[in-house]
Order: sequence, then C-alpha cells, then structure tokens
Amino acid sequence: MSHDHKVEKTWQALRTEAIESLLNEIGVLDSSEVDKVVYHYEENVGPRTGAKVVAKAWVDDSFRERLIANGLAACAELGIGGPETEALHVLENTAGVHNVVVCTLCSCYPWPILGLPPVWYKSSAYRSRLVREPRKVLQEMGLTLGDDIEIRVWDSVSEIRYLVLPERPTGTDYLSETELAALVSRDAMIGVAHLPPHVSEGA
Amino acid sequence: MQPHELLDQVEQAGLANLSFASPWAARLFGMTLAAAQKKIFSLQDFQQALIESIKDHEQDGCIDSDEQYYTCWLEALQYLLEEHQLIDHQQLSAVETQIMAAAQERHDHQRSGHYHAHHPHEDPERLT
Repeated sequence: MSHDHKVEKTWQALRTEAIESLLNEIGVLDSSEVDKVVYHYEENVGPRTGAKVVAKAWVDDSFRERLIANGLAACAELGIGGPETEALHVLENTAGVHNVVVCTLCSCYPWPILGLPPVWYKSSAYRSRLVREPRKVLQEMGLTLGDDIEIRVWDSVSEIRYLVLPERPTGTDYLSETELAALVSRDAMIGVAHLPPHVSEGA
Repeated sequence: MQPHELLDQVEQAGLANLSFASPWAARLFGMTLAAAQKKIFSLQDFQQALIESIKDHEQDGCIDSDEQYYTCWLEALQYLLEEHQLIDHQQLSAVETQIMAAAQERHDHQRSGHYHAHHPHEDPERLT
C-alpha cells in the first residue's frame, strides 16, 4: 500500500476513539450517553444561558438577591444547571468594584451556565498573569479600568464556580428581559469586558 | 442531524472557539462528564488529574491552543481510567491498530469508487 493513500488521524483523535471503543466494549460507558452530553453542550448550553440569568437579575430585584445568596438554586428556578457544578457564586460588579474570574491551576468554568470556556481562558498566559497583574491583563484584553476601581480576582480552583453579574448598561430602561439578555456577552460574565452603553435604533 | 456532523460543520465554519475545537475534544468532554455522572470517578478526581497533566505540560512550555489543552485532558482521562483498571496500555494500542486498519479499508474502498458516503466536510457552507 503506498503512502499517499494513507488515512490521516492525529494521535489524540485515535487515542480518544480507542478509549471510547474500549469503554463501550467492556460495558462501562455507552456511546449514546456520550452523545447526549456532547449534544447538550453543542445545542442547549452556551453564553446565552448565562445571559438569561443576568437579564433576569437586572429586572427582578428579589431574583438578584436570591442569585447572590445561592447562585445554583436561583439558576435552577430558570431550569438552568447540571450536576457538573456544585456551587455557583455570583459576583456583582458595581461602580467601584470590578470582578474577574480565572482558574490558575486548570480551567474550571461554570459549564452549565456559560457553556465551554474560550481558548484564552485556558491559556498559560491568562492563568498565570491575571492574579499578578489584573489591571494590565484586562487592559491588554481591551478593558481599561480607572485606578479608583478595585479589581477582585476570583480563582476557581475549588468546587466553587463564579459568574460575574455585569452592571446594567445605561440607556436600557425600556428594554424587555429578552432584549436585555441579547446585550450580555460571555466576556462580560467572565469579567474581562464591560457592556457598552445601549444606543437604541434610530436614536 | 447527528451530533458528529454538527461538530464537523462547526469546525469547518471557523466557529470552533464557540464550542469544541475538534470532534475528539467533544468526545473527551462527553466521556468525562458521562463517566462522572455514572460515578465511575468524581469530577474532583478528574480535576486533580487535569491539574497534574497541565502542570507537566507547562514545564515544557505554555499552553496556548485548544489542541494542547485537550491533549492534557486526554492524558488526565487516560490516567484515571488506567488507575481504575478499566483500560490498560496494551489494550489501547490493540484497539488503535484496529481502528486505523478499519479506517484505511474504508478509505481505500472510497478511492476505488465503489462507495460514496456523504461526508460533512464536503459541504461546510450548510451551517449558515
């Protein structure tokens, strides 16, 4: 058989397939169970899930209080959550305090609320530098914060996951909860971006 | 639409950063969560294994791509499954050889023109 007809597969793809095949064979895990998890994360969960939580907190004060008291229980009210997260701590940004989340040792992330983390969140650079020089890292990522704003960095290495509750942008008083949710970005919920003031169409 | 096709299309469309970077990363993630749900190991055990694997990799350099990150994930999962004596190296190598042989056979068959399966890579535009 000549070499130019050879099938290409990375060793990681091959090893992964072999592990799955073996687990199927010995009856430990069925591929349909794996399919279900993957499908759920591809189709149902993502930053839009977290955006719904944030928008609800902006329009409903009692929900916001419950969310800050017990993030997981409040998310469950909206049908959001999963066994992957045991505790969710919601961090409210204010005019004087900015929160930002990192996982220094690996890449813990509130999967059921925000989906999968972006590449930069898992990078050595972000993980190693954010705690040491948060103001500089945030600036490099496009978020410049004044010296009067206190930055709190939260490290997810434990069973607690964090979600930043960004400040509600100005100019959004008349927007519905659904319209508000559309303004919330993933990066703002990690704490590396602000939400810009809202300018209504035709204004 | 099957989840596999979707993943392939997402990857082809350059949307990888929004979800799984590659189909194998998705399978790894799915296996890990499914195994934890079935209490084969806890997510805390997995997290510990992942921390160790990342630490090892970072001794040789930085992690700055999804491929490197999920390679750590793969090593962590393999380590845990071996530790629980569910799989071993020898079995894995044997299955890898079988998979490659089967893939090669399908490939040769396709090239000779007897077999035309739909392949999602041919039509990445369909996602939009």
